[in-house]
Amino acid sequence: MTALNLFKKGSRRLLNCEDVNRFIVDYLEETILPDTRDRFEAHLAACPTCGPFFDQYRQTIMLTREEGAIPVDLPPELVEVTLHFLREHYEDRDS
Amino acid sequence: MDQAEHETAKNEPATPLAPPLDTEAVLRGDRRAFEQLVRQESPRLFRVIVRILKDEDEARSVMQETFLQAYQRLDSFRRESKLTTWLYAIGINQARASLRKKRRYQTLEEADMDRLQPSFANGMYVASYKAWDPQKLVERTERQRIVREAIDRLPDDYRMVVLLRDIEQLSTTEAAQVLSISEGALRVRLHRARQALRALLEKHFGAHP
Repeated sequence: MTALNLFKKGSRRLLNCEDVNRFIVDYLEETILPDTRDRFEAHLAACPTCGPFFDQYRQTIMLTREEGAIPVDLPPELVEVTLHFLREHYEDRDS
Repeated sequence: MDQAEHETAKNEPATPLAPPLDTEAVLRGDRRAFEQLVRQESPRLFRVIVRILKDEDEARSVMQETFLQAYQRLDSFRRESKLTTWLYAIGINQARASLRKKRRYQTLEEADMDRLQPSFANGMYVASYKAWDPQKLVERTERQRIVREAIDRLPDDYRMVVLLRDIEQLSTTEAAQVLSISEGALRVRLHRARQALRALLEKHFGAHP
């Protein structure tokens, strides 16, 4: 069954693990349809495999953000150096 | 003008004395307005380029070239995205071009990415999973090193998506515009990237015997 079929009106079949996996991004971005979200959450609450997998998936995002929070400082002189560089080249466009 | 153009880039300190960026003046080629764009966007643009290249010296040169290209190509801005999104697209293309010339490290292949995705049989996971507790297992700086190395192993297309969505926290729409792909393609790529990262991190943060 394709993901599209799951949205068909009147389609109420339970999601399996593979369906749930396919909807993770939509669920986290809250772009999932309400009916599908309810079935996603029902499966997640009951499945001994999908719950831990989903936790690991969210942990992966949090760990990525934690790593990304390490600051990369702009060298203090770089803006002025860049502006100087641009001033030397403005005429390339303006001429 | 798009209200979002007035917003200070995420995580950047506010500069209360700076007037709002006049996008129309920038697009007319007004140098003073363009230089304000340079001052406003340099911190974030530099950070993104450094994260792609992992080389500060090269990132300086790529950032300068990005602003120059943007200035020279102002006429090509189609107003289909925010001006800053267009700027980041130029910066990322420049950084990728530089990577292709000077890459100093190996990344995974597409076949490796396939192997790092979970497998299913009859709609069920083949493997079983147990909760992680990385905060207890490894101290913060070591965690960050492990995660950085895993991100750096991702192929460029996947690393860019993780960088824009999960680190810089751009919206799906903005990230898709920066990378010139559809939002659907971006979601698929992001999911594959996160699942590959999960698999790479499993050996560090999974249950130890």
